[in-house]
Amino acid sequence: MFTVMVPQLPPETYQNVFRNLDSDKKTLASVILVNRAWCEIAIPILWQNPLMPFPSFFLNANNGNIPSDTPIIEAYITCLPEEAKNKLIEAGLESWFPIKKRPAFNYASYLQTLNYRLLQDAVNEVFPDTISEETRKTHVTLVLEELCKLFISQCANLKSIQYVGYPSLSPFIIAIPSRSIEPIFIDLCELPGAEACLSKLQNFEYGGNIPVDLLHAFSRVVKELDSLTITSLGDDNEGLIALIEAQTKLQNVKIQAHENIPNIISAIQSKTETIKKVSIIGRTSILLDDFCGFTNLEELTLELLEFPYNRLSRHSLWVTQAEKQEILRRQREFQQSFHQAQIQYQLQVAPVVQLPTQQQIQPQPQPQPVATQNQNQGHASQPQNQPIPSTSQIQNQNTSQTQDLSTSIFQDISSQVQNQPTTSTSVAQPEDPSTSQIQNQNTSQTQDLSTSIFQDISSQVQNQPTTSTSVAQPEDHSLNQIQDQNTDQDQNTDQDQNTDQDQNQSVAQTQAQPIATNNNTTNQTLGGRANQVASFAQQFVSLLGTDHRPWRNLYPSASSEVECYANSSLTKLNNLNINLAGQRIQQLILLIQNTHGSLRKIDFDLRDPLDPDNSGTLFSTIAFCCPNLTHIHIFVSNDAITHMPVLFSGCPKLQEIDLIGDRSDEGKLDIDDVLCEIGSVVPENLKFLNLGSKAWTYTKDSISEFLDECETRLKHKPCTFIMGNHLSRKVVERLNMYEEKGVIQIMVTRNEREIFL
Amino acid sequence: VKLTSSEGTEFIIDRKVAEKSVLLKNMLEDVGESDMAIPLPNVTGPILNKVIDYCTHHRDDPFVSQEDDSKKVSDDIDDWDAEFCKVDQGTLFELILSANYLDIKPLLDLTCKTVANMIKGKTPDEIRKTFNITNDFTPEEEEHVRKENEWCEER
Repeated sequence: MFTVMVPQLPPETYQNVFRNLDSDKKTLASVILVNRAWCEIAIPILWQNPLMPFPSFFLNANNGNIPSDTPIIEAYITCLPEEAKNKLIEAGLESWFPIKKRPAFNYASYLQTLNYRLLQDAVNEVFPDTISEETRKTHVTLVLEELCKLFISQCANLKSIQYVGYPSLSPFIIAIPSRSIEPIFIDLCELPGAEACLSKLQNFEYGGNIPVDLLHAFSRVVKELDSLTITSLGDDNEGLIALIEAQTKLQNVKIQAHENIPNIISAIQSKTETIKKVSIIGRTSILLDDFCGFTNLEELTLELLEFPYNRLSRHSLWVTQAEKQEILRRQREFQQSFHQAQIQYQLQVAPVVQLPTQQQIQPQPQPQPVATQNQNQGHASQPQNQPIPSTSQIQNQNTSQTQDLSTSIFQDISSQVQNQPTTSTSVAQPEDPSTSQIQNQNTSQTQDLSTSIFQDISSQVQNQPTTSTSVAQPEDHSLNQIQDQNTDQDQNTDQDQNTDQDQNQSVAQTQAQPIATNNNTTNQTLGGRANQVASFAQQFVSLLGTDHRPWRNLYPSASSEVECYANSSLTKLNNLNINLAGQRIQQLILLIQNTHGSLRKIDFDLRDPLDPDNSGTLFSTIAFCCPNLTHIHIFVSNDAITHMPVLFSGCPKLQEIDLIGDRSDEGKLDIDDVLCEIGSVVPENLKFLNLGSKAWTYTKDSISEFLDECETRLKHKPCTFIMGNHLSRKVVERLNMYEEKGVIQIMVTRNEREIFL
Repeated sequence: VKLTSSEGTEFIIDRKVAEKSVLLKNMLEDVGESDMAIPLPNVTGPILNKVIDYCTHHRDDPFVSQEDDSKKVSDDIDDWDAEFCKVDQGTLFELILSANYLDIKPLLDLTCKTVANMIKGKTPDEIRKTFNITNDFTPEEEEHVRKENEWCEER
């Protein structure tokens, strides 16, 4: 028989292989039985964190049954030294579990994560229900003490201690043990070998209500934590603050809090030099200001989130069309069986009640799940079935849409006027716009304002005296004002269209005009899109060259928090997740500028910002200050939608674009014009695209044009494409055609209930 | 940068590609630019060719340090990498050894993940057959280990 010569791998390589199976205990159970060598390598991996909470998918697959941890505790007990074993025997515990047995391995020595709460629960589970509460507590305390001594004296690689039942920051659900007793806290720092074992601790997870003395004891021994997770706060946080302040290498802080935490934040602020990642989630008052001094920050997550915190990841909400059909089928089955069960229950439990006749049963409509209804709407209810917005709605939208300034830079005005049917966004309408629409749109196209903004800024910077430190500027140079000016100009676009005003005012004149009187616009007619982009980029770069914070001087200095961000320098920040309400977009703009291009991932959900007018500027800031961006998830207001081309061309490394549209309007926003613009600048590495799937609509021709460009430009195909359920049948057919061609992989949304089906 | 495989075959590659290997990167930093070929006696020509393919494809990927030991997931291999790893077991193991020797962590992780995927879901017997391994446990030893670790079979 021919045998392939397979080279032998060194043990450390097998270790690397088996670590990939860390979460697959079943396979590891096979691996340890292959031969002695594999067993010796895999056992330490299997036992590095055996007491783990069970993820929700496991419990769902296992009908909610939690496997017992008793065999793990029994194996640990066999690892105890003779003296400890004798103590347990003297206490009469041998009748509950084998004590004298010799283990095949010293399992306790491989422990890397000690979840104290799970350990106590598991020890508690070893004892039967029949013993009294008092005896139970005595026995549990004894075993717990001996096991803690064992771990502290034997574990050379203990990296993590968790004083929390179930880490709620992770996608684990709370599975409460059948019996539970009051926490028994053992001072690990007093045990023999504590200094050697605990001084190397890297992670500490705090779940509240740990005795303050215990935390003070930890703060005296544990000084080199890499990561601190706070899942809930106790009544007295002094011990926790002492622990934070004792750290010399703290890099990663995760906090969940329902209450305000100024003392904790202050303690963390004393570690700005070492901290790289901060995540604060919950209903607590968080200010962006608190983090502008963290010069080594790489990741910042601030989320206002309701309980429970373990929200589902966005990606788990999307499935393929086939998967969605399967989910709906299961849902129907479930409803039918549930309905049957209801009838049977009525028959069995309430026989005295007159049974419903078949007629009475039948007419009860089966509650259609929302998703099913939506799905049906997706194909049956077409945009034309939706209420057509009133004229005033359309006018309002068009007015707000013209508030966008900088996108028009990227529009080749002359070619648009000649070739494109539409440029301004409009509510979903029949595909042929009316003549008046075209006229209005064409007029608005000629009012390219954004170039003038940057020329304004440029000229300001250039005109500044070279000796000026450029902090104090005349008030009329503030960006707000310039924005206001331009917004005003744009808001007057309709009037301008009608009156055809002279738009050749000089930049200097524009600046000098008071806000209220600045109704004139500057007409910039550039040769082509490439020239426009180049011109804009050149101006922007020249601004950056003059001052690394081009807008810094243009903000009013009235707000100290804005000023504090103007002076921030988060040049290592690459991941920024802000999901907060009532913040200033201005702050974010400054923060992003001061990253100097380091950002790679952005996830913004800003509810009720104090300065909503700045949302357009936020987009252009991202486009021009984040050239290395690979992922973006952001809410796009109807006003800001025309900034998409700027975003696509300004961030050529984008791999994931998740744009959330404004669903507050009744109609769906037509993005045909934007689609025409973004096709030619779609990032080559794009792998995921959500074009406001719940709020925006487009025609088959515009999506075809866009996807044709994608087919040519994209390096990785198919690109995941989130499809809304409100699109017309023709658009869906067209999208399916591109899926068949391998350009896109269509995903549709499922709701959270459907995840468990 | 010139490299020579164990049989003496010479390969010329970009410095950026060569620097995906920490071993070569350190060598180049120590020695500087040179026309001299770097001998790689532990790597055969065909395997070096594959390694160069990998490094060229991933030349622009960000550097992954040894300390960057984030949670490993064995099923997140992208299409190109999955295709790259469709090789016979001998080649796969040679790639692991070369990635280990040349200190190319992403390639080592990828190949180890691929081996892990080959193990996934298999019984001890099936694993032994796949990798041509002899069981050297005594029946008592095997039973002892199995009994103490049977808790993980239901997780």
